[in-house]
This record gives sequence, structure tokens and C-alpha cells, in this order.
Amino acid sequence: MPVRFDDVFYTYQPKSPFKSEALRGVSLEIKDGSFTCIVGHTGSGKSTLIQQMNGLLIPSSGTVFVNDFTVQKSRKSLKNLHNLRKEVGIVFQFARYQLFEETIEADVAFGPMNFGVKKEEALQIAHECLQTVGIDESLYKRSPFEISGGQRRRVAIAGILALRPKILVLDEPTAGLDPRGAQEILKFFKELNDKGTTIVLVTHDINIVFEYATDVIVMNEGKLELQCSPDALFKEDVEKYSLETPLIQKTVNLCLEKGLKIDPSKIHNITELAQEIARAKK
Amino acid sequence: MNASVLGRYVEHNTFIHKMDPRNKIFCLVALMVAVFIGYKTYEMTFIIGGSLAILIVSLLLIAKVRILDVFKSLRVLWFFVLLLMIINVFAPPANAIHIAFHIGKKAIYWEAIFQSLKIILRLVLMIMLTMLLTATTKPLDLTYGLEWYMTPFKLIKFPVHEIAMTISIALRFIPTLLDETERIMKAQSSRGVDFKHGKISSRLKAIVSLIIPLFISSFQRSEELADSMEARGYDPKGKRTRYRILRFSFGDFIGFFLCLVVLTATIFIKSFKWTVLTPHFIPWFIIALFLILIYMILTGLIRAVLRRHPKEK
Amino acid sequence: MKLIEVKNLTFSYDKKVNVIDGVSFCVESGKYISIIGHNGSGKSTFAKLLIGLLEAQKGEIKAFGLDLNSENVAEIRRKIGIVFQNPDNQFVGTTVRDDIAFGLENRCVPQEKMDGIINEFAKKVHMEEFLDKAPENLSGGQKQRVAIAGVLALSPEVVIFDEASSMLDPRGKREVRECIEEMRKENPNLSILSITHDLEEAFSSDEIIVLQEGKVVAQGKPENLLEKPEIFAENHLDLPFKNKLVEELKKQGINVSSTESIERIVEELCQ
Repeated sequence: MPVRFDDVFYTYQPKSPFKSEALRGVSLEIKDGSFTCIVGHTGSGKSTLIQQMNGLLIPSSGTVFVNDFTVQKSRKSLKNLHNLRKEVGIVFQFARYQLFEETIEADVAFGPMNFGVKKEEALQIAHECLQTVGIDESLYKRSPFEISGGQRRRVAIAGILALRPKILVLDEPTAGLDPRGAQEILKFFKELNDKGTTIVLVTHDINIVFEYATDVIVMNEGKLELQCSPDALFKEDVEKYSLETPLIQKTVNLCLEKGLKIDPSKIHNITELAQEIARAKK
Repeated sequence: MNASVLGRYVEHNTFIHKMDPRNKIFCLVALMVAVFIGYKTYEMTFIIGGSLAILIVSLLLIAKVRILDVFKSLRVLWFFVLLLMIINVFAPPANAIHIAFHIGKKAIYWEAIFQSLKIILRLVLMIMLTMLLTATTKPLDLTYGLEWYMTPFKLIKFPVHEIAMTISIALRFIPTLLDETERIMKAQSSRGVDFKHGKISSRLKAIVSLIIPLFISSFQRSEELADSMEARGYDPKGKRTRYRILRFSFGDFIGFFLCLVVLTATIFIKSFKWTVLTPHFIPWFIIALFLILIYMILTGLIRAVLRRHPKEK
Repeated sequence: MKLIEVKNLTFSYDKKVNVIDGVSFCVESGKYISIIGHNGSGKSTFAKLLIGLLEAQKGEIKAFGLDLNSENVAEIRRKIGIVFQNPDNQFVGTTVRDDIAFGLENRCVPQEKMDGIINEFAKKVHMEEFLDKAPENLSGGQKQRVAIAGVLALSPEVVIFDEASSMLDPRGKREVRECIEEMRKENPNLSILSITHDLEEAFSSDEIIVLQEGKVVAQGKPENLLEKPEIFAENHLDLPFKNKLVEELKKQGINVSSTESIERIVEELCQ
């Protein structure tokens, strides 16, 4: 049950002199079970795009289809948006924006309770999700403001997981994390993806795309430039989309240029790159 | 973001925009007083009121304030206007004797109607004057202007500078805080919070889910800001120089003089002893400055009405 | 010449856990030092201690020949500039101009000279076109550049960057990095202390100090630290790509000597 954008346009503040067209005729499809990365420079429309997926923003024209839901500028569609937020869970960039309850478990339980789940059941779901994100039981009754920034980020993710969304959207989840923190969190999403959750990840880090994505969407100035697999993407000159070439790809290109016969299809991370180079040199 | 039109600064390069904020504050106060001065007769009130209205509208035009924005600000008044009319009509002033018409058995007096109109006119002019100030003066300049007026308070150790600095920082952060509010609302909406529908208890919870993160982040923000200001050598009690200095220009003297004249004229007219209450005995030189047409229509209307509905006993 | 000397500094917020534990080091004129460590290693606390926003329980800090205490702190702050992490929470003025002026006002710079200084330093960070813009209309990178201009306008001898680019997008990070490079070129005597967890940046500095749980666990030139690459992994830090590549190649039995750039490495590989 995928997400489909059908010729979606979105303009901010259409009636004011400050209006800006954030999305221009975007049509795309996000496949079920994929790990889709959305990349693009700042202002390319990435954030606007994901907000159409759970109805935070309604297309100025065009339609967004999410499973059985239709998001468009009509009264009928607007009524159902509340339930859409259970299907598509968005974790925004800075965790502190979400946490407010007295205890961590209450905060995570807040989400399900907004959809009619009873308190006891919601708390149970909360405990499960907190365990999944690696928050120790001893912290459940603590205030969310007593824990570290990194832990708060995980609690925020747990809060969205508690809604049991089929599609999990993440806006720059690794921003501000140290390299290990970033690796851990990405591995966690990969595990969720393996278990069946569709992951949509907005990022600036092209290296994440290289390592984790099954599909890539490239946004540029409000338009969809490209939707393809990472392999196909890196055959292109991504710099024309204001993106940086992943360093692994850069190395591969340089090696091929200099005549080293390595096989790019066998290279998915730096270890494999070294192995291929070693093999080619023999 | 849609801040109320009443308070919003609109960038232009008009004569009024360029005036010193301290002067504009004075002019605002002077004209406000002129608007609120009461006269013995309704004719006088409406003549002066009408003249001031013409003056103020002209100023609004000079300041390139959009008529549409003026109407939007006046929309705020409609409820009050209704309330006023009801009160005045059903509890008419003591000297009401001229009956306008009847609603059922209740008599509606002209005096009551004029009284309401008088109050409405004053309110409209007051709002227009305020708009004139806020549309032509950057909030920060207003702060500097007010700070200048508070200078004498420094003598009694009143923290004038600290207050001005607090206000200017608050102004700088309003757009930032509004952005943050929007972000928090989106994050909470994504968790199923509905800010618009639902029963009172869940909407209350919705507001709590918005306010608490906003407060927490604001506290952290102010701590970081204080650290940064301290590191940059800020000492509120210490000596500092000023980057922005306010200077009067020739245009300021014209504006100042004009408002002073209007104020004195209105006070003078009030204290003048009128024996005959007819408009054509007023060859007042200030009045003559304004459009005679409006003046005649207004007074003509009042006179016609009074003649057609004689006293009733 | 030693500008700042730190001896045995110990600090704790709650009197139980030492966030900074017996740290000693010094900042010399013209040096670019990076302080790296995982999140929670005490890096930011360290910056605040250096500028006197926090007071250490033990140890001492000497800056510019003065002991850092409540009497001297104002004088010391005149020579140290600091750029913090959050671009919004250090932007005081209502416009770029006013924000740069804020520091000048605090230092009692005569009003007549202010415009000249503001224009000069705005140009240095390439923000002269944005002088009258308000912060809500600026990107993170632009705001940080304004902060840098504000700091430089006071002619400090040491500039501390406290994770100044960690909240920025790649373009913003690049803008800040370029600013630092230009700063160094223009003023070789300026000392820079950069607190970061970005190793690409740290590897372009003169000296790296690795903080772990408040203690200095490694210190020295980047090349020297590479002799013990485990230190980075232990501290949740990732080596820059080119260095990682060299490590991986070593594991495959290929030894590469140049680590300047990917291009050089490939050149060497293909000889």
C-alpha cells in the first residue's frame, strides 16, 4: 500500500506578497516496504513534501494518495486526516518539540491515547516501544527533561512508533549526532524496515543514501528531478542537482578513471571498496 | 503568519515614515487628546470630529496605509459598536428630547443616536491614529522613542535601559517564537493532537502539549542568549555607547508644529464661549483649512434632522 | 607564546560526577586546536569554563597573563571571542547590523566608528548585502557568519567555536569552514579553538585534543594520533573517509603512505 503523489503543487502564503512555490508538479510513488531517501538542497521542497504525506499540509492542487486515504483540497478528504496520522508517522528534526508529559512513559502513551486507546493499553504499548528504542526501564517514570538530548530523540521516536504507523517518515534523524550515534540510529531504522515498516528518510547526507536506501528521490527547487535506485543515481552526475557525490562513489570513479578494474556493483561500503581494490591490484 | 493588521509595520519611504519616533509619539498623543475633547453641542463635536477625521485620513494616505487594512482593523470594533448602540438607545441621555423614530413602543431619540455616533467616531479615529503610528514606525524605533521618554526615570534608578533591551530582544524573537510554535504544533499534530476540533478537555490537553515545549525551549533559549551576551561583554549597569541615535529633521518640526496647532485649536474652541449654536458663526481659521463640503453636509444633516422632528412632550 | 594555560581543571555540575576531570593544556598564539569527543564528553562545558561562564571547583586557568577570576574575567573576555552552537540564541540585534553593533556598544566603541567597523567585518564574512536583514530571514549558516563577524569586530586574540556548525546543513557547515580558513589566512596570530565532533574539520587543525569523560585521553598532531586509530572508535568518532580508506586498505595488505586526499591515495594505488 504505497504513497502516491499525483501532480502535486504547493504554494506557501498564496495570497500574500511573500508567497513561495514549494512544490511544482510533483508525481512520485513510494513503494511498500522500501527504504526511500529523499535528498535535495535546503529549500528544495523536501520538508513540504513529507508534510503532505500525513496531511499537515494539503496540496494547493493535485492529490496525494496514502493507502486508502486521499489528501487533496476538498472537504471530504479533510475530515479523515486525523486517522491518516496513525498510518504515516513523522518524526521531525528536533525531539524537544514533542516531549511535554510528566513522565517518559506518559509522553509515549500520549500518541495512542489520542486515537482512542485506553490508558493501560497505551502504557503497555509505550513500554514496548521504549524498549525497542533502547530506553532503560528505570527511566520510564522520569521526566523527559531529565534525560540527555540523544535519549530524548529516542523517546520522541518511540512516541511515533507507538502509533504503529505503516510508514515511518524521518526528517534528518542524524543531524547533530556524533558518528556512532548516527550509525546506531540508522541501523535501528534498517531493522524496522526489515520487519516491514516502510521508511522514508529525508537527509542531506548522501552517504546515508549510498549505504541504506533502496530508493532515492531527488528534489531540486520544488521539482522532482529523479526517482530511482541508488545504483542508478550514482551513475549520474549528482552535482547538477546540488548534491555532493558520496565519497565511496568518488573513489570508485577515480579508480576507474585511472584504469583500476574494480567492479562497482560489488561495492556497498568502504570495506568492500578496499576488498575490490585489493582484488583488482592482484 | 498573520499578526493583526493593526500593529504591523509596513515598509515605505514616506514623510511620516521618516519622522523621528519620539516626535511621532508626541503627535499621536496630541491628536488623541484633540479627538477626545468634548464639546457642548453635537454640531460642534461632529464638525471638529469630521475635520480631524479628514486630517487623519489625509495622514494615512500620505503614509501609504492601505484602506483595506484600515477596514480590517475597524472590523474589530463591530461588536462594541453594537453593544454601544443598544446601551445608548435603551438608556438614552437625560436631556434627550428629540425623537427620531419608534421601535414598537420604545422611542429612539436623536440624542441617543448622536451620542453613539460620537463615541464610535472617537474610537474609529483612535484606531486610525494608532495604525498611523504602528504602520510607519518600526517596533524597535518605537522602543527607542519610549526609552527616551522614560529617561527622567533613570534619576530614581528605574531600570530604563534594561527594560528597553528586554523589549527589543522580545521583539526580535517574536517571529522566531512563532516559527517554533508552528513546528511544535506540527509535531504534536503528527501524534494525533487536534487543535481545532474535539471536546474541551482534549483541546485543553492540546494547548498544554503546545505550551510546555514552548516554555521549556524558551527558557533554554534565554539561558543561551544570556551566556552569549555576557561573553560579548554585556553589562547592563556598565557604560555603553549607542549605535542607533535618534535625530530630528526638518520634517519633524513641520509635523510637530501641525499637531501642536491642531491641539491648541481644539482646546481653544472648547473654551470659547458660544452663545448661538449655529454653524455659520464659525469662521474659525483652523476649520477653514478643511473641506467645507464635508463640514456643510455634516452640519446640514444634523440641522435638517432636528427641524423635522420637533420636541415631543 | 602561550595565550591560555589550563592546569588540572576539574568541574562538576552536581558535585557528584566530574564533567571535566583534571584537564591541562595550553593555547599558543596562532595555533588551530580542535577539541573532540563524543556527545557528553564535557566539550561544551570546557568552552564555558574558558570564558568564565562557569567556575571550576579545582585547578586554574590563566589567560593573557591574568588569572581567570571574577575580577579579571571582563578583561579576559575582551580578548576571547566565542561562537556558540545555536545560530538563533546568540543573535541579539533586530538586524545583522544591530547584532554586530551590540558587541561594539558593550565595548564603548565611539559611535562614529561603528558603521565603518560593521561594514568592514560584514564584508569579511560575505554578509555585506544582508546588513539590514532580520534574523528570521537568514539561514543558519548566515546567522553563524554574523556571529563570527560580531566576534572578529572586537579584535580578539583567541576565538572559540563551540560546535558552531553542528546545527547547520552542509552548505552552512561549508560557509563556516571557509570563514575559519579565511580568518587564519588574514590573521596568522589568531588562535582558534574548535570544539567539534566533525573529524574532517579536526584533521585540518594543528593539534587535536581528545576528551573522554572529562579527561584528556589523547593529544597531538593529527598525523600522530592516526598511529592509534582505536582512540577514535572508542570515542564514537569516525575517522575522515580518506583515513578510513587507508585503514581498510591496510587490512587488505595494501599500504598507502599519502593521506592528503582521496585523489592522492588513488594515484598511489594506480602506480
